[in-house]
Order: sequence, then C-alpha cells, then structure tokens
Amino acid sequence: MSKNVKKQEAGNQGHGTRKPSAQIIIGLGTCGIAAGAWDVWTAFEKELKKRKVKAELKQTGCIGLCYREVLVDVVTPRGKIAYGNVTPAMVSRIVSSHLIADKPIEDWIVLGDGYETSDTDFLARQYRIVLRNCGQIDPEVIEEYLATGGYKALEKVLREVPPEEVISIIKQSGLRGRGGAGFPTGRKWEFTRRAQGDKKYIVCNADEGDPGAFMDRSVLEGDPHSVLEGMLIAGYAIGADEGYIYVRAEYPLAVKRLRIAISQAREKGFLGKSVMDTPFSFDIKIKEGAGAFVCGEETALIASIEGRRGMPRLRPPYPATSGLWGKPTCINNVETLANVAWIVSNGAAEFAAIGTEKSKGTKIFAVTGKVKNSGLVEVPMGTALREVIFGICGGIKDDGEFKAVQIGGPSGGCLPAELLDITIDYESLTATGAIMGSGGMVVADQSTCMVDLARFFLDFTQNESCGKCVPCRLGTKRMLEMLTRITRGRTRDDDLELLETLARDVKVASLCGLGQTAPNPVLTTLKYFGHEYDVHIKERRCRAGVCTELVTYAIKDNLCKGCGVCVKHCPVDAISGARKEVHHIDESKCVKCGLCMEHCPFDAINKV
Amino acid sequence: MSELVTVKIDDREVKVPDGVAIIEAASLAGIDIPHLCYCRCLESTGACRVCLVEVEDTKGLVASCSRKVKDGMVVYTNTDKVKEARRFVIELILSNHPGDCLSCDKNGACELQKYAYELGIEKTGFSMKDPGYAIDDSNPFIERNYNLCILCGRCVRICKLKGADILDFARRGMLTKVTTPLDKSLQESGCDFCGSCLAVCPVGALLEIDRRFRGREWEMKETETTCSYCGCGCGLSFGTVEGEILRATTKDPCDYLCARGRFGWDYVASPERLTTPLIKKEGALTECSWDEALSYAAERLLKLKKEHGPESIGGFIGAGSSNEVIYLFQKFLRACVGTNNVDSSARLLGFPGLLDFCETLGGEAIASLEDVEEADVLLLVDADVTAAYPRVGVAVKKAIANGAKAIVIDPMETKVAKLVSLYLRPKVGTEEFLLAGLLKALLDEGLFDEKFAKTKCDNFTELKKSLNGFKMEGVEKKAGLPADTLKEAAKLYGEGKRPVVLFGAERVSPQSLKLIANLLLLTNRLKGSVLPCLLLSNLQGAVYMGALAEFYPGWKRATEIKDKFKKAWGASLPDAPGLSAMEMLEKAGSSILGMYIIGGDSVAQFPNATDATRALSSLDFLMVQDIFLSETAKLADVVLPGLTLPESDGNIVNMEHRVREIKKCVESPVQSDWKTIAELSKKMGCDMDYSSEKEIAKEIKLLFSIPKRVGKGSCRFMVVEPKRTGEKPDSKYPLSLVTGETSFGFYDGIRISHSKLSSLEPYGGEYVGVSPEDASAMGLEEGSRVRVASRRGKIEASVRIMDSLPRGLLFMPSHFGKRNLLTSDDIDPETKGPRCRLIAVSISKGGKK
Repeated sequence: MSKNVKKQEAGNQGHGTRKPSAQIIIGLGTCGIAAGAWDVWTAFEKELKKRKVKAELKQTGCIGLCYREVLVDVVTPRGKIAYGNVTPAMVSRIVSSHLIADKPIEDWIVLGDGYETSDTDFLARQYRIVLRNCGQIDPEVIEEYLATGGYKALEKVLREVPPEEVISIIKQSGLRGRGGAGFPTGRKWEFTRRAQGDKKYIVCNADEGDPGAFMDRSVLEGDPHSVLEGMLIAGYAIGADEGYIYVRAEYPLAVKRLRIAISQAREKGFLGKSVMDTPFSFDIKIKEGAGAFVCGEETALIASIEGRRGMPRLRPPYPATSGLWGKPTCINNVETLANVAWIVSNGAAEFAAIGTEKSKGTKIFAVTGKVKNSGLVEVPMGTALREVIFGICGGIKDDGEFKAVQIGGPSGGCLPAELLDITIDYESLTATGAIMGSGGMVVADQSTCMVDLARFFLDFTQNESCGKCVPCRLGTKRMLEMLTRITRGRTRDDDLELLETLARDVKVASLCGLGQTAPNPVLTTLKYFGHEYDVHIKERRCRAGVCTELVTYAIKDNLCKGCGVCVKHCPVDAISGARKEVHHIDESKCVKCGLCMEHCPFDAINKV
Repeated sequence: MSELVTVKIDDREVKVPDGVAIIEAASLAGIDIPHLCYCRCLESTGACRVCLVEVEDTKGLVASCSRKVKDGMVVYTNTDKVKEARRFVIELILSNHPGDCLSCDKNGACELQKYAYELGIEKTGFSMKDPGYAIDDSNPFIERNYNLCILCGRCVRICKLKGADILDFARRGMLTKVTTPLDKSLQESGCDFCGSCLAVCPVGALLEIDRRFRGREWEMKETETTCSYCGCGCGLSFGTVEGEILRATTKDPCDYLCARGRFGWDYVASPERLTTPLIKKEGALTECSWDEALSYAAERLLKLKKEHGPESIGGFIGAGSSNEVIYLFQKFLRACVGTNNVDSSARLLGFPGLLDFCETLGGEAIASLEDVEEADVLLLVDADVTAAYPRVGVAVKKAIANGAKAIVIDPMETKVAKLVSLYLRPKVGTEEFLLAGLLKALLDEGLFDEKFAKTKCDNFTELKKSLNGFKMEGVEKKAGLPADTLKEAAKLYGEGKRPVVLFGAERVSPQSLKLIANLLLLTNRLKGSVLPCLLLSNLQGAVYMGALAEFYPGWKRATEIKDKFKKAWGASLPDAPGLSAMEMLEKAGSSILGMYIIGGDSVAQFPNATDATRALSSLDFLMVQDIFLSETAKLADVVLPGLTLPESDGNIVNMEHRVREIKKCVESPVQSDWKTIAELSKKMGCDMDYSSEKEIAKEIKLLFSIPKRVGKGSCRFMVVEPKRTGEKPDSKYPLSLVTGETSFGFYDGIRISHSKLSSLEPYGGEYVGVSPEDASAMGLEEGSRVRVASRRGKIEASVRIMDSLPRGLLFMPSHFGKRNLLTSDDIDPETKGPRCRLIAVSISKGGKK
C-alpha cells in the first residue's frame, strides 16, 4: 500500500529511451489492493524486466467489477483488453502470450473490444456519468483528467457563466443530493448564495459510513479531480472561497489521492488565488473524520470540522444560513459533486433527459451480498430493481433464490421479491419504506434470516448513536434488546407489538436523520417479512438457520453410516452412537456450533 | 425590542416577541411545556425530546425549545401524538435509571419524577436498569452520580458559559457519559467549584455532598439573602433544616454563585466560633459574662477618655459587617466616645481614592453588571476578575461570548487575559505609564470628545500640556509595550460604543485611579462606563456609613456636615479631624491608647504585621469583637463574640452601589453586633437605644439615601506624572511580590480557614507563586520550600509554579496570613492608605516542609 507508483514508473522508463507502445494498467483502488493488486504489480515489474519487454506499468482506480479484482488492462496497438481475477501466477503468461506473442488469452478476458464475455453486460447495461473516469485514468496524474476534458467545465463557468446562471443550470438539470435525502442541489446552492454572510463555505461530505456502500470511496480514489472541479464550480456559484472535504480517516488511499489532486490542482492554478487568472479564488482543505457514523449528518459534520464533538444539532437554522463557524455553508455529497462538471459540459437538458420525472440523472449502487457480480453499478434513475440485481449483477450467487434486498444502508429498508419490479427513484423507494440513501444494496438469499438482518443493522445504528437525544440513544438500544430476544427465542408476549410501537416512536421523536431512519430495517422487515418474526416467536424456529439458539441439528437415520467423524469433532460430546450404527445428538448438550454438519462425509446432518 | 407576533397555542392566542422559542411563547401564555434539557439561560439543544409539540402545517413533531415562533403559528402542546411521544421518552429515560427515588435527595424536586408522575407512568414498558457507574465524591462539595444522569447536558452547557468549561460528553450511544477531560477528578480538571451545574441539574445526578441524607427539598427552609464575600453582593438562598445550613443556591438556577458563595458558608457552624466574651485576666483570656465584659470595657474606655481625652481612643471595623453595624459603630465613636478616629478596611482596599474618583466623574459613571455584560469593549486594569470577584468574571465572559472586544492590562496573565482580543502586559509596576500612554494615544489619534473636554471639564489645557511632553517611546522603554500596541488599544477603546472600564480597586495605585478618571473624562464616558471592583462585601457600604475618618455618613466630609449630625444625634461632635487606621497604628501607645476593633482581623490585614502587632500590643486597652479568636483578638483585653452575616439581618451596598438585603438564616447564641455596641454605649452613659436593625436602618434612611447620586461630577482633569509603583527591587531584594486573590481563598482568611473550601487551595494557601522562568533559574520546583524575605521580615512558603506570572514577579494569596510580615506600611500621603501591594523581596531555598 505504501509503495510509490511514481517512483516505479520512473524506474521503468529508465530501461528504454523510446516510449513503450504497450501499457499495463492495474486497478489500484482499495478493492484491487485488497485482492492483491500490489503483488500482481510486482510480478509484472519482474516479468517485464526479465523478458526485457518495453511496456509502461500504470495504475488506475476501481472500475466497479469488484468480483473480478485484480483487474489488469493490457493496452497494445490491437486495443485494450482487461483480464480479471489476475494473480501473480498468471502474469508470466500474460506477458509472453499477449505482450510478446500478441495473442490475448481468451479464457481470462473480462472485457475487450470484440470479445463477448459473461461480464460484458455488467458494464454495457450501465450508464456512467459519475464513474466515467473510474478505472479509465490514473487518478494521480492530473493530465489524464485534463485529457478527458477535465476542468473545462470550470473554465467555462469562470469565463462565461455568471454564478446565478450556474445555479439555474443545476436547477434545470434536476440534480438531487446523492447523500440520501435527495434535496434539490440547485436549490441548496441558491439558499447558500442568498444567505447573508461575509464568508461562505462549500463542504464535500465524504464521510461514507453505510456498511456496504463504497461508491464515494471509488470516486475519490479513481477520479478525485471530478470532485474538486464540482466543488470549485459550486464554490463559484454560491460565492464561497473555501471548501472542506470531510473524509473518513478509514479511507487512507482516498485521502492520499485527494491530497495529490489538490496539490496538482494548485500547481495548475485551478485552486488558490485567482483561479485560472480570473477574480475567483478558492482553496480546499481536507478534514479527516474520526470514525463516527453520525458525522455524515451535516450538522454533526460541521461540529466535527470545527473541532467539537460530532453531534447533530437541531435545524433550522440550516447550514445554508448558519453552518461552518456560523457562516452560510453548502454541504454536498461526493457523488453529487462529481455530477456537476458533466452537467455543465453536457448541458442541463441532457442530464434531465436521463431518469424519471422527479429523479434525474443516474445513481450508483454498491451491490453486495449474495449476487453473482458484486460491484458498482451506475444506472439511470428509474431503472427497475430487477434489472440491477438480475440484469446487471447476474442474479443470485450459486443459483440461489432471492429473498430480499436492503437498500439505503442501515437507515434503509428490506424489500421482498414482490417489489423487484419497482423502479429506483427517490419517490418510489420512499413509498416502500426504504430510502435511496447513499445507494448501498445488500442482496440476501434464502440463507439470510430477516430478523437477524434487522438486528445486525440496528446493532450498527445503536452503536453509532451519538447519545444526544433520548429516543435514539435509548430507543434503539431497547429495540435491539427485543430483537436479540426474538433471535434467541426468549420472547416476551408483547415484544412484537412493543417493538413496532417503539420503532415508530423512535422515528417520530428522534432529533436527527440517524435516529429518524434507524428503525427502517425493523419496520420494513416487519412489514414484508412479518411471518419470519412469527415463526421465530411462535414456533421458536429460524428457517434460515441463522439464529443458532433456534436451530437444532439432527442426524438423518438413512444417511448416517456411523463413521464417528461427527463424534470426533463435537467439542461438547453431544453426539453418541456405536460404531457403524446411526448416531444421535443430545440437544441438551449441543451448542449448535455446526462442526458436525460441516465434517459429516455423508451429508447426514442437517439443521432444522 | 423586537416586534410582537401572534401565535395560537392550544387555542389560546398570545402576542409574543418575534423570534422567541415556542416554549418561551407558551410560558408567556401561561402554558408550561414539559422539558428536561431546556434551560432558560442556556442554548437549546433539543436533546431530551420531552418538549415536542405539534405545529400546524409542519411535518412531524417539533422541539419547542428551539423552534422559533412565526406570526400566525398554530401550536398544540397536548395532543395524543405529543403525549405519546412524551410518555415514550420519559419511559425510555426511566428504563436507564435506577429508580431509587425513596432515598434520593432530589425526591420531590426531581424533574424526571415530576413528569413521570404527571404522565401517570406507574411501570415502564422496559425493565429499569442501573448503569453501574461509580459515584464520584472525591471532592468536598459535589457528588457526581452518573447513574442518575439523564444526559440533558445542562451541566455541560452551564460549565462552558459560567464555569471552567471542563465538562463534556464522552463516548457515544448508550455509553455516553458526562465527563471531565480524561475523566479526572474535578480538582484535577481545574473545576471552579462554582456549582452552577448543581443548580441546573434536573435530577439527582449532581448533588451538594453536605445535604446528602440531611434534608429533602420540601424539608428545607429557604432564606433569600446576600452573599457576604466579595463586593459583587450576589443574591443567594440558604437552605436550612433545624437551624443548620445545608446548602446555598440561587432562587433562579440561572443566577451565578462562585465557590465561596455556594460552598464557603460552613464556617458559620464551626465549633471554633466564639460564643462567650473573654477578658484578659493575669495575661490570659478568660471566659466571662456579657455584662462583665461590657462593664469592664466601658469602664476602661471612660477612664481613657477622662484621662487622655476622647482623641486617645480609636475604632476600626472590617467591611464585612452590615450597614447597620458599621453605622452604629461610627456613631458610637463619634457621638459616644467623641472622636473622629474611626476607620475601616475600606482604607486598605482602595478608599478614599475611589471617593475622589467618583466625585470627579459623577455618580452615574458607575456601571452595573448588566452594563458589563452588554458592553462592546471592556478595558480591565489590574483586575483578576474571575478569582477576586467571580460574578464580574462571568459578566466579562458573557460580554466576550457576545462579541465584545476586551483589553487587559495586568502584569499577571489572568484567566480573562487568555480570552481577550488584546492583552497588554506591562512590566511590573508600570501600569501608570501604560495608562498615560493610552491617554496620549487617544489625544493623538483624535479619539476623544474635544468639545466636552474643552468646555465642560477643568484643566484640559494642563492635561494636554502635560501629555505633550510625554513620549510614547518612553512607554515602550518603561512598560515594555510598543507604541503601536497602545495605539491599537486606544483605537479599540476609543471607538467602542458601550465601553466599560473595570479595575481592581485594591490593586490600582491612587495615581492610576486619576489616570483612569482622565481617560473617562476625555472620552466623555460618564454613564455606566466604569466599574471599580471591590473586594469586600460591604466596602461601599462602609464608606456610605461613615467608616472613614474624614467622612460622615452619606459620603460627606466631616467638616461640611457635622452640624447636621449634631442635631440628628443630639450629641456634641468632635472638631478634631480623625486619624486613619494607618495613623492610629502609627500613634498607638503614644497618643492612641485604646482601640475598639470589630471584625477584619487587623493583624492579618494590616501591612507590616510585625509593626502592627507591636502597635496593638502597646495599647492600654484593646477590645476586639470577632467571630473567631483571630490573631488580633489574641492581643485584646476584652474579646466579644461577633455575628456572621448569615446570622444577621440588615443591608449591605455592593460594588454597583446597589443596596442588598441580608437576612437571618440561622439563629446564633451570640447577640447581634449592633446590640453589643448599643449596650456598651448605654454603659458609657450615652444611650443608643434601638429595638432592632430595622430601627437603625430607618435612622440611616432619614439621614441620607443610597445610592447617593453624586450628581454631576467635578469633571476635573488631574495632571499626573506616571511613576513606577511599589517598592523598587534592588540587589538584596531583587524580585517583586504582589498579593492577590485566588478562587478558593478570601482576603480576610479567617472565614475560609474555617471552611472546607480551604482544602481546595494548594498548600492551604501558604505558597508563593513563581514564574516558570524564575523557578528554573533558581532551581525551584513545584512544592519546594523557600524563605521569602523583604525589608520588614521573612516567612516560609511552598513554591507554586504559575504560568500566569512574568519573570521577576512573585505572587502570594492575600489570605496567606503571614504575608503581611513582608508587606510595606508605606503610606500614600493623599489617601493615607497603604501605597501599593507591590513590594521588593528575595527568595531563597530552604525551610521546613
């Protein structure tokens, strides 16, 4: 992770005098690195040196095919071909076959002109505005961003478009906040512009905290300049001369690439005094968050930047009138800002042509869980849920059966198969009880227990409650206690009724968005999967077999050969039986660890 | 005044100022919206969610503590939806509460209990849990039991506003807890022990340790009276059970009390209090009856009067007594003994210089604490406001929080100096140069009212002339501050719209007082523009009551008013001018042979204690009336028990010239001081017959009124040549020592030394503060024992390293009894008070631990 890409490039160029015609581009986002991209990088370095092949080794961000990491693009005169799931062992063959012999290895190709693969659809069926450069350019080289037309939109507005008009372009585009609530971005800018204040701020909210959401990280890692350009345009439009990026400290690579991007933008005169030699001055500071989920809430975020405890405060006043250090402040999410330059360059009308009546443009989803192809999916608003999960992501892993999808992270809701045909836009998602949120999409199959899933998300939110207001601090805790009781079969008669009342009260009475949405997973699972709760409570059973205390392990008489393997693995001596005779599990001793089932050579043990 | 808007709350239409919160509007309409985290004087946070209401055309429920009203707003405070939410919140809070109301001191006064009762919550839907935090009672005053805490955050907010800002929330979610930095004890965290947190805590999480299990709210008798420590004269209420004080608080929890006010009352019940008169028999003080003591005293005084004339007798009274006692005391000396030799601690703490100051500026110049809070510019000269007069400190902090610019002139970097826009740190003893420099800069920059100075004031030409020769470079050389900084300060002060000057009356030199008067005249700021901070509760009252030798009651010079009092008192009054306290001591044993001293432990208070003790010992007859057997009392021939203010009725006058009522909170076996004086007078054949304090107060009222509007001041500029103040250090005594106040000590020493408060003072207050630079140069460490010597004497002390001190300046608390063995009795010829609190000393290692 700490390796210096620049240095390696320079070392590589030292071998030959003429520019190599071939390029090997490795996806070095956090996801690629986690999958072993640095090992692949080193392997290529060695191999190229060994074979004396002149090829430029380059990095790029994440393209979104998480299930195919490590991804390696090989660019030769024949075109660009991407290999997926590359390991260091595959490197030698790629070099010899593709680079030296000019014979691409078809079995390993993920994407490539003229090659139809199982992954072609994953990208082909997407509509990429925000992710336009991710996985395409080297995020640490500003020239590559410029080559894609980067900072042209900024130049255009600075030279030709008065701030009010920029705002009206954004208003016409219909862009809405991608951070969750979907507030119209143009109106937010307008409020901030109109607010009285000698100083104004623009803040980029990069405190992406939802479990399973990573689109902002990918944008920051893969295309940081698009965010900076968006902030510059926003700053110009609202009359700010200073911007903050509030980014999670848990995103070290994003922070590093932002720092590089900021310093490059300063060098080029895009940041600092008299941007592009115009009267507009603007600079950006990075503030690293300290790991509190609630700091994604805008007033808590402001408090955190100011060096205070990250706790939300009541609105109004909204940050647009009294934000950072009491000054008018516009807070936009990463994805929102990454749309801005595209809208300016391509026109509001083109953006507004994408999407539904009230939700314009595209939205990125981080699809994870039990899908075949997990990764980042950017689709026009209004795309059907089914298209994302089945069309683009290839359906359920191991050909399992779809059960639910949790949309919008811990504040979102769980939607059942019956709702797979709803379209994804702010209004229809809200109508289901879920929310757009930041765009996390966790897909569950039949092996997921919905009560346990709700418990998982609630455990997260109650841990992350700042503790300020009573409903969130204590209400989520009490809800969690009830859910835990249900998953353990220790239900009290009135628990379900109380749980629902509690969930509604927490929603109504909480101070900030965290508490107001925390009950969503509970309320939606109650609404769409109420029968699972019933089974847990009345039958003391978990059909998904997740809630261990509600599961029993049984040995099937017809399959058991009496081999004794289960006896050897049982840590509590709960299994008995004579050799070559059917064995039995003593339920009173069984701790439900599942080791017997895992080790039974005859699949004779099952969970019921 | 903001505009009125009409809102409808629960079908009641009410006109309220625009911009108030719904909860305040409701309160104006007579509707009390339940609340826990809201507190009138604190910023609303909306955390508890108890005050939720419904507002027409607004989605969801609204926190009424923070949503502002709008014209035409329709609010419902008691709908089913609101009640359900409120009930839900209270139940949740109770689910994390031990529920041991049976033995909780807050039972009956607990706001959580109140709402649970009102909502009829018999049993919560959740099981009640005790969070299991350890109770912190590691300090003498405040018990912190966070098991009862509901995290409303009132303590956090008030600590920031009025206290030391040491509280905040730590951790999150269920583990959220109010804590100090690194969860240290209150003492280690720099707590002021103002106890403001106690006053606002809605439950029993913060409690006065003294009251634990000794009295619940409804069992306490509350008596509203006035604090008797510094000159702020804060209102307070003593809660008593069966004649014992259990706690002091304020009627309005938003009002401030400092540590001394809130916790420094336990001396009242000290077993060491004097309760029986003592007479010196065969060299030892022996208990006797009141009659015996008073008869003996009368006999001795009459004898002296007869043999040596009334001028051989003098009186001194501490300014901690009430108006009535002080008035009667000086009347006793003037009308009964027949001498003007009557003085008070006012002499030692800024008077009568301050009288001249007021006469120059006129009565309206004195600012109130409200004026300070609303000021836009503050100029503090030698005033450690947070330590010496904490209520003033709170006002200053409030003004700064509201955006006021403040300038501090003080060689010691006080707590306030750390908060201000401009801190001017003169070299030790050079404040006069700095003030003169400010005057010069105001003149040079044209930041003054020329028309007023020319036409309405005397001596303007002379002032200008004197300043013409004054070089700003000289200030830089003498005081160590560049001319530009002074200009900046002059600009800041000169351009202020509502500026207020504050100074420590006991610290500024008489010359500085004149310079400050010039400053105010020059800028024509004669209305609520200056607050001389006074150290003792009734210094101002003592002056009004005539307890300065040159002055009769009503702040009149003896020479101009004598006839009026002759008539009123029906007695012949002495012609000879009175001697000041310092002069009486000087002449003790020669022309002064008898003295009557009430309160204010003179030996501890008078500079150059060695000489003072010698002087008092050389008297033929000394009578002392005090609450404890003080060092002075030990020298007396007759000792009479005195009364504390919490045991007395009467009045005092605070530094704002406001009369404050003192009420008896507890009974004492000791008789009232006024009664003692009256009985003594009777025995001397001059019957001052009063039935109560009220009767004395009535007599005072007939003679003059307080505050006396001096009317228009003399508006006379005084030409002052700035000088370095204090004793000049030399090779033998190379350092300067200043005495001053600390948060947990108090000037008179005698009360705090009999209070638990003294345990909070480092080294019991017996320390010498040394700057880190001097300490390292001399190889001194925190706690080292040293000998501090001056030209008068030497004492031992512990070293306390203080960041606030500059190199070359040492500090000693003014309640360190022995400090006066060092101080100088050099007298200012004009005011006849001690010239300065600044003396030259040396310091050397050694001394017993």
